[in-house]
Amino acid sequence: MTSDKQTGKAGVPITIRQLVKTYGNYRALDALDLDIAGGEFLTLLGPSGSGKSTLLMAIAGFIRPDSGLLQFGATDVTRLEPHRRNIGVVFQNYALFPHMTVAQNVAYPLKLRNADKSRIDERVQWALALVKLEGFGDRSIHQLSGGQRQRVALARAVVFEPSVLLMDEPLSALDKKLREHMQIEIRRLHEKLGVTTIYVTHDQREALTMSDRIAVINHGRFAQIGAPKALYEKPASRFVAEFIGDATLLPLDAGQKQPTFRGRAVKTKETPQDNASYIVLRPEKIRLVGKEEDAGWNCFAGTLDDIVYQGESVLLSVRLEGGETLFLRQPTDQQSLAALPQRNQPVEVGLHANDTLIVPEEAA
Amino acid sequence: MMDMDSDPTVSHLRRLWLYLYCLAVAIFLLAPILVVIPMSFSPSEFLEFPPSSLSLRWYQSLFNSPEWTGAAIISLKAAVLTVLVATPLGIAAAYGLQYSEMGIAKLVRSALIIPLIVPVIIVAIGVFYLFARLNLVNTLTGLVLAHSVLALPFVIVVVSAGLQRFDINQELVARSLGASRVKAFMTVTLPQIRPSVMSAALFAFITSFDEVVVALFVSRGPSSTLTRKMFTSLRDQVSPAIAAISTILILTTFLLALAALASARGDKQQKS
Ligand SMILES: Nc1ncnc2c1ncn2[C@@H]1O[C@H](COP(=O)(O)OP(=O)(O)OP(=O)(O)O)[C@@H](O)[C@H]1O
Ligand SMILES: [Mg+2]
Repeated sequence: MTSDKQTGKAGVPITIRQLVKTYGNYRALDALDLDIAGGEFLTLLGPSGSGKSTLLMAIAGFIRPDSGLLQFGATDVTRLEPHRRNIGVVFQNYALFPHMTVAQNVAYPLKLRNADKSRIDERVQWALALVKLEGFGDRSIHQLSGGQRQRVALARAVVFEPSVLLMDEPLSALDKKLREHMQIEIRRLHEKLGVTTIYVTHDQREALTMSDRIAVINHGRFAQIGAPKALYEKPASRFVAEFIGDATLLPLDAGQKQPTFRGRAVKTKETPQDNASYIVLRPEKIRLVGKEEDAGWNCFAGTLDDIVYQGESVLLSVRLEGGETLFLRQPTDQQSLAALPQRNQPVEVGLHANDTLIVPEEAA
Repeated sequence: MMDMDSDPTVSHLRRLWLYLYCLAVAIFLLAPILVVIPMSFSPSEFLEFPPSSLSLRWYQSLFNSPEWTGAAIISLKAAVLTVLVATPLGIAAAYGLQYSEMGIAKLVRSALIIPLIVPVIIVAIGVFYLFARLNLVNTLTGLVLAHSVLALPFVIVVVSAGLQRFDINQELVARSLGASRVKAFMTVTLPQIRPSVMSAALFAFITSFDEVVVALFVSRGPSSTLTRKMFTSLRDQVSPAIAAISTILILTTFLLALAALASARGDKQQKS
């Protein structure tokens, strides 16, 4: 252990191969493969019950996989006990030790490693400073706010320089403001420490904000793994397109060689895959267009159903002739507001060919 | 803002009958116990209430009787050993049952609670025949084993209640931070269920110390427990010596309960 961690050291890479965990007949982890680079911030994102916590607990060693391989660096840790894995874990409910002070909580992993007293004091000070809790060492856990408890849990999880940091929805108990603040703090802390971090959330916005890469998981399988932008701009399947960001998906006409929607060709920048079957329409990528049909646009005719003022934007809902509802965002500057059509008026919605995404039902 | 109902003088008066009722219940519960105390200080050969004068005669004779002091020592030994056997076992069982994912756990729990439900006399008879084969009758080991069986359900029930309030994630965190399972339990779980463990130990102690039925079967002659000796000597004569012993027992139990309460309160204060 060296105290000069400002520069950060590379965390260990993690390799997961064909990892399986079943509960009865249910495959909570269905033959997962994943490579995480040393020092990477990877987020597991998925709906409730998709297997995020199960995977995290398997990496931590609390759940024994039925089969498969788990490696930290070159070391096979598949069957290694949790306390020998050198991992920091942060839970949603913090799981601080209420019978210890803040400093005792943070010192706990160091005591287990038989560090001497002066070393422990020094590291505890360092960790508390890292999470901006200098001077809180003597407090009891009961005297801390939710955000402060979260910080103590973080300090305790990194004070012993773990090779891997695991976090299971660590911010979900905090209010929105504090959560957004802590997202940045955790990101900053990660950059400083360079520890390989796996972060679990079901909040797609949080995942997009914080991660180097996101692994979208559904029913125990990865739906897609990629950088935030790649996932958002190039979802591999209907599930990913719908789960990340807001989107309305319109089904393409079946049995056509070229993609068409209700008989009209859909213009795209790249030639879509053979099995592509939905157009993805995101509220911020579509806009109201005039009758003049520009060559670069895909247009959809409908009626303006509703206008909802949301402060930073207005959300319009447009009902298409086929009955589907699209949502689009408009800015709230005076000029745009004045130009808004009336409710129940016919409108034309345009999606530029460059922004036109077509996804298959299932990833290839 | 103040409501008439919450005015203390009115409500106290209105609740007078309740206070009287509680007093009556308390007297009903405590009188038989308390009446023994003055009787123990009587100088006469027979139990009398109120005593004609006060003397420590019977206490003196008790402490000078090797039979009684021997029995007291056996009772104390048995009780302490029962605590040492039943408490760790009960904690382990409660812990295992709480976190077991096996369906059989419920069944095992019921099985372990059975001694609480079955009439003690049945346990005593069973234990007697078993111990007769194992040569454990009239041994301290046998007595402690039998008492531990009776004490175990109390420990399991009390410790389970304590564990219910404990967040097992804390133990997971401790293990991730480098503690082995045992270490995590000792440093994180145990300190937090300490009040339950204390009351469980107290229950175990009293279960053994108070027990007479099993003792009648398996502890005889020189290995008689105090309660057994009291029981048998009552058949021959009713002397104030019994009252003196009872007074000592009452005092011991009372002090133990007080100690347990104080320790539980200490824990609470430490937390807040
Ligand atoms: N001990 C268990 N026994 C049986 N099934 C389990 C057990 N633990 C988890 N599961 C199942 O495995 C699946 C994945 O659970 P997991 O806790 O990993 O979900 P998650 O993605 O973390 O969900 P959430 O966002 O709600 O926390 C769920 O369907 C769950 O019901
Ligand atoms: Mg979960």
